[in-house]
Amino acid sequence: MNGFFDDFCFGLRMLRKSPGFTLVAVLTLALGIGANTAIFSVIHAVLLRALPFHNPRQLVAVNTTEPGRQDDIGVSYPAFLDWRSQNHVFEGLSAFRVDDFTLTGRAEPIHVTGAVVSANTLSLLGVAPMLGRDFNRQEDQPVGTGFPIILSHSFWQDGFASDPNVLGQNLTLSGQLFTVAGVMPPGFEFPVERTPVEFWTTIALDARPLNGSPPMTAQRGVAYLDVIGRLKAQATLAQAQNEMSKIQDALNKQYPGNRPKGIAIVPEIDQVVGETRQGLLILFAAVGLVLLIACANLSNLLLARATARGKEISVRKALGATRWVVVRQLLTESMLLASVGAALGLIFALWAVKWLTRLAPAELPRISEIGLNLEVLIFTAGVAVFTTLLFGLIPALHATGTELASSLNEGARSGTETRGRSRLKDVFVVIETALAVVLLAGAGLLLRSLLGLGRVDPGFAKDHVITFGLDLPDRYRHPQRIEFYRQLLPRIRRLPGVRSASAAFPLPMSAGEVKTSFGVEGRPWKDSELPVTTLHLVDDDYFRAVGIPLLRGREFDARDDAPGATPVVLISQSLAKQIFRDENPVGKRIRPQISTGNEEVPMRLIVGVVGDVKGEGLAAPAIPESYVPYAQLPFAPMSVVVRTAIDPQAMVPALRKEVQSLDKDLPLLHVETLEEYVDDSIADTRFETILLGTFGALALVLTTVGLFGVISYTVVQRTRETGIRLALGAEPRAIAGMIVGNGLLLASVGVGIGLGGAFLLTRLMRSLLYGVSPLDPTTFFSVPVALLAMALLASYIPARRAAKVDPMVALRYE
Amino acid sequence: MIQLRNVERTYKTGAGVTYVLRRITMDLREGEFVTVMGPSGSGKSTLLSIIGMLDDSWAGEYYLLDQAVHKLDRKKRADLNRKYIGFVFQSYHLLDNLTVYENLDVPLSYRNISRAQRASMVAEILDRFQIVGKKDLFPSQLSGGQQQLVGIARAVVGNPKLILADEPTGNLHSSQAKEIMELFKKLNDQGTTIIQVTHSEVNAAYGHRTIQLFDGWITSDPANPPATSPEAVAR
Ligand SMILES: Nc1ncnc2c1ncn2[C@@H]1O[C@H](COP(=O)(O)OP(=O)(O)OP(=O)(O)O)[C@@H](O)[C@H]1O
Ligand SMILES: [Mg+2]
Repeated sequence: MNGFFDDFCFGLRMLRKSPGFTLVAVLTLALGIGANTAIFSVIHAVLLRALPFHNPRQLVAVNTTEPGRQDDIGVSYPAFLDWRSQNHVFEGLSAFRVDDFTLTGRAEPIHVTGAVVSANTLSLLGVAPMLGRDFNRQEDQPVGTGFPIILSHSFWQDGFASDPNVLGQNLTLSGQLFTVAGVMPPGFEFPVERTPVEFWTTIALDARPLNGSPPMTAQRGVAYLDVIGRLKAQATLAQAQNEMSKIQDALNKQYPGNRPKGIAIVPEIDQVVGETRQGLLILFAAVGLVLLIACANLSNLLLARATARGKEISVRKALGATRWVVVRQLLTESMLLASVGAALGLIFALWAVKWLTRLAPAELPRISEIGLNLEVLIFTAGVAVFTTLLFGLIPALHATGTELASSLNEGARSGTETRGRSRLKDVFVVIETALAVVLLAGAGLLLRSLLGLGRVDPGFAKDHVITFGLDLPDRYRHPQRIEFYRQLLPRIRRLPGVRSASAAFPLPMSAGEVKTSFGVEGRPWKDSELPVTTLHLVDDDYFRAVGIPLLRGREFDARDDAPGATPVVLISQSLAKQIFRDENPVGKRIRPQISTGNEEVPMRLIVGVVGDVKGEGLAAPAIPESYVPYAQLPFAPMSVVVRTAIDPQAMVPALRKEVQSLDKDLPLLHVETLEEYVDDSIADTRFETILLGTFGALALVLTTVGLFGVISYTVVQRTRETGIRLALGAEPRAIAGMIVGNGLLLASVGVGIGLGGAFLLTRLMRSLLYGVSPLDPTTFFSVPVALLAMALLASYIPARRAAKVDPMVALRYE
Repeated sequence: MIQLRNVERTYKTGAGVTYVLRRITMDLREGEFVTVMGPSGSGKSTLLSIIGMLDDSWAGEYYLLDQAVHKLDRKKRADLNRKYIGFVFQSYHLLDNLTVYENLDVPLSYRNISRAQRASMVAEILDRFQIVGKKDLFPSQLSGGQQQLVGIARAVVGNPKLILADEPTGNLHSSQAKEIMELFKKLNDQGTTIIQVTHSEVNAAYGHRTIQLFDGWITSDPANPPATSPEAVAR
């Protein structure tokens, strides 16, 4: 049967004959389909794509939890070994952590990130090196000279020019010697994060003694590893959860000195995707609404065309065409439009995806691998077909029969088909207005959240502060570390443009944190009931450099840095409130469970109270924090903070010069302003707001255009009526008023329905909102106002044209 | 009541200007019933729309009840239309989406009349035209003659002094046409001035006099015998 081909050719001809219509339709579709394709590419890359491992569905994250906390707090190596030896549900368990390293001994010192993993990790993931060998079990302990290292494909390419003889070469990373054992194939990444690591080495690195204290792997109190496991083929998630909880309960009893912990087993994909899923799904739903609005617009265009083509259709029917044949003809035209729209949409999506990748917040993993692939193409094609049916079917059925018309009409007097058709158009306009209200309400709420977050006081002065990390290698023992900063900071303070400088670990909002429990002098709490604080190690002048106010007592100074000085601590206001209520905490003593080496954990004198800081991001509540002088606990890699009088970025070269004049092998890591840390902490809200805002704006434009189209069309349709009315004495103003009133009526009905929908739907996004209720009155007031204003505009222009109708046309019709 | 002096109407067309009405001069007394006849395209509808103040693009002088229409702006003309004039159309031009009752109410709704008074005016006209039983029907549910009856009722409902009817019976059977003409006669007897356009001699006989139009010229007007002949000017 060559019917389809005929339809196709005729369809092409019809579309060429009305280029204006075709252009508008194709552009609308390209926007709608393109936006959907772009968002689907993100969803596919982040949520749907299989992890780059063998049989990834068997992989689970084994998270350690504490009461009141959802996220993984990590596990110590001894506890991990107990898990591994006692369970029966896992084929294998692997522990890992990610760290910063400095590669030296080559041209420039460079900063690289690497993962320290248990030796079974790669085999557990089921991916073998492309060159060289995997780690073997013995390598969890130090053997021989040089730790084994396996390079990522991109590190091998960029850092070693794809040298095939790289195996066996020695590398110096952060002062340790490594020997290249292998190279992983392209596309392999573990852990799956926004910026993949560049190499893997074994946990043996943590088995070396540290600055005189026992190795990390020997301390049951140091929970610092993440764990991934592969379930046995017949084991279920529930069984694993059950067994691991039992094992952990036993450990809790066996080691009462550690805070009791729980276990949460999560499919690895969920672990990777984390909390980004809900936001992405909401965006996906939103962009779907945009497509629906576009379809409603197109349906209306097609309905208008059907009226114009009524004669052609009745002639065809009179010549013996069945209804189905005519419907097929009309649907073929719609399909043509959708195909061209989809093709254009793909181009648009390619561009949009680039933009999205740049915009995406750091916690959105796997987004760098977004691209057009088979799945995305299938999705786009599917959307095109679906869209065709959605916007083409109703107008086609409507144009070819009166069934639908009469069902939408009151009673039998319908004779004229156009009346049902214009009613149907009104319905579409109402629907799209309602959808636009829902979208705009969502966008409005997010915008209000973002604006609210922008006004939140982080507790410090974020402007004009540059920060960078330093990775001092092992040959810096405690005294050398203290000495290093004692030399560096005064040099920096002397630089022109610097107001103050200090060093700290960790920086606020920098993701790193040290949580520790603490006892309070004179309060006999059980170990397991001790309160928790987030600990910061800070150098002199820290509070001035960062801009945290001192509320009581004094800051740290030189007397706290001297050897044998009294152990001291500063606490934040919320910690003071939590523990000491209205008493003055200065002069009281607490014992944070942390120390260097083996000496007993000392009681620390509270010398002052400082302001609260939003340490976990602007949206999170302030947490109880305490600060200890670095000289008294010099174990962590410190970040330097510099408050400047000039543009902080401009200081970076001078700062690098000062650092490298002390040690030429030290690169500056993570050079970022405090402002950037703050911005990053709300990047997800910003991402969602920008996208939803874009969709909302699209919806508003499409709806306005749709309303404009329908009203204009009505005006043309009603030229005769308008002429009669003018001949009967109507004032042009009254005619215009009638048209505008009609537009506003349609918009109002749509707004009413949309408000109802928004009322029901916005609560789904509660978790994305900050400081604003899902039923925020401001949003729920301004969105309808905005839409009605646009409706006014959209009907005013055609209304003016109606008022200018020449009444003589009424006579001319005779 | 109406005086036209040298009224001209032209259309700009591709080549130049086309004259549709030329030096129209005519007088109409209150209470007259005048018929305008002429071949198709001679300008009858154009003349009616000028008199009815639907058209502004003409030259010459036009007095309606001593108002110099040619000196008035659009708004004032629209006011005059509302106050004095009722239109009856060849194809009735009832509004399809409105019932008979609502159609009759439309012209009143454009005048400054209270709702209650409008209701009583519509009720009265329904009664007068004996179409009370049809008031809730839509135009598509009426016969052609009934529709034109409503069309006339609508023209009359505002008590106009002047009715302009452009081929009011053009689409009707002769029996229906007769009824309509009787109605016009009755309205005229009650004092309404009427100008009708028709092609039918029978209908023309209902009027007091007949003005002939040809190619935009008045070729005969019993009230103004020395009308300029087109041939005289054509040279
Ligand atoms: N918009 C226009 N542009 C140009 N010429 C026009 C226009 N409207 C009308 N005319 C011309 O004006 C002339 C008079 O038209 P009019 O409708 O007044 O004629 P009529 O006497 O009413 O004819 P009929 O008996 O067919 O109704 C015609 O020649 C017509 O072609
Ligand atoms: Mg005519």
